[in-house]
Amino acid sequence: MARYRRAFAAALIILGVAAAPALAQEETEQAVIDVGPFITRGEGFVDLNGDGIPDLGELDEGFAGIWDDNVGAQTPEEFAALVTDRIPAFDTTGDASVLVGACGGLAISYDDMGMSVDAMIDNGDSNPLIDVFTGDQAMTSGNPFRVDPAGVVAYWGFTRDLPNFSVEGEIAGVNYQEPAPSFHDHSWTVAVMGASADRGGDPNQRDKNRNAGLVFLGEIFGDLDTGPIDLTELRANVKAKGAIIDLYAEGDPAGRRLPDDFDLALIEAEADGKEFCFGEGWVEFIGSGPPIGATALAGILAAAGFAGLLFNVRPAQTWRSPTSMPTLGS
Amino acid sequence: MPDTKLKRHPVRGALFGLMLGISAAYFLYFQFAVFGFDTVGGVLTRFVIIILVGVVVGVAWAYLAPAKQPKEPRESTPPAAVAQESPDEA
Repeated sequence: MARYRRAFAAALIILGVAAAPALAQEETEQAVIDVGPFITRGEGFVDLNGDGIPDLGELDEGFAGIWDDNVGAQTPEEFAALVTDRIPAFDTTGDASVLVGACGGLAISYDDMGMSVDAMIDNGDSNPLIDVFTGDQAMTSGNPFRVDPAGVVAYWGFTRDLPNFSVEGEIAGVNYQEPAPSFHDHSWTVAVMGASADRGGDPNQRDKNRNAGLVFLGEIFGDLDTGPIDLTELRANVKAKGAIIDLYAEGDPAGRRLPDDFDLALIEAEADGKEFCFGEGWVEFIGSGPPIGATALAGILAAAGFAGLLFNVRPAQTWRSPTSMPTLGS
Repeated sequence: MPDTKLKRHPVRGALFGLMLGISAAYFLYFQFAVFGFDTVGGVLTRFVIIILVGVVVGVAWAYLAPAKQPKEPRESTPPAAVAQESPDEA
């Protein structure tokens, strides 16, 4: 009878571990910061799910930077090589998020239905990134930026007007028009888990100091051939970082590239006194997770291991055999 | 001298602990995303640590868990043995 009670208790524990996340689903959070001032263009940006963040509307197609990598510029093999080659220099110690430099902006993640999932904002000041829903620091390991891998991330970015921005670049044959402070001849890069995920740059002869765009994660992940693994259902916390340096491609018509493996110290050294921005933090992909078959297999393994420890590993007492017992005369 | 002896199962403990560790690592990383994917090296290191913790827990359980009582009552001394012992007593 005791064995059945223990088996029942073990089943309850396993059920509790498996069901706890589903039972712990939160009610709809409410934004504590008004992001409306950022969204001045675009049709149909209205709050449909009642969380205070405008849900995804229509945006006109924009223009890529002249030196931006095109979609699919790297083959899966090239990307895999970057992952394995660049890992050793990646910082694994920081749990917090960092944003250094005169950059700020807003990022909103949307699910595959266009409903807002998470949002964070940086005012371009010395304060860290802020979670729009909680007002706490965003992109930390404990409060990552939550992203639907089948959805979309919308971003609005800006730079503060500072006197040490360049007023024009030095690419031969480019008309930089009226001098105005902003990033010129710049180069930028974004890395995930230490591998360069995207990069680009632009002479920026129109002196842009604002930018907005959409990242269609569902399309990007959906196009990757990863065998039985569906990346649009990815459930994981990953570390991401990015950097941009003013005048890094100065005088280089092809657009000089930033190093693939970088940290704040390296970016500071590469900037060599020029204006730059560097940021890193944690992103949580909130897909449904691995296929049900793999999870079921892991569940069976867990149940077997737990039951084995409970019933088959405990020390067992046995009677000494009568032949080994001392006789009365000895 | 006690009438019972203890039989321990450290190898079983290690095997069941290994199973528990592998499944725990899977759930912590892929199902509940408790640990982050910062680098490949970091992920592999933590994966191995979780599995080793499972093995150590299994082996420790084999030594430290409360012992199970004997399944059956103690066998009585065979009559033949009693017959042999009787002359010595006399």
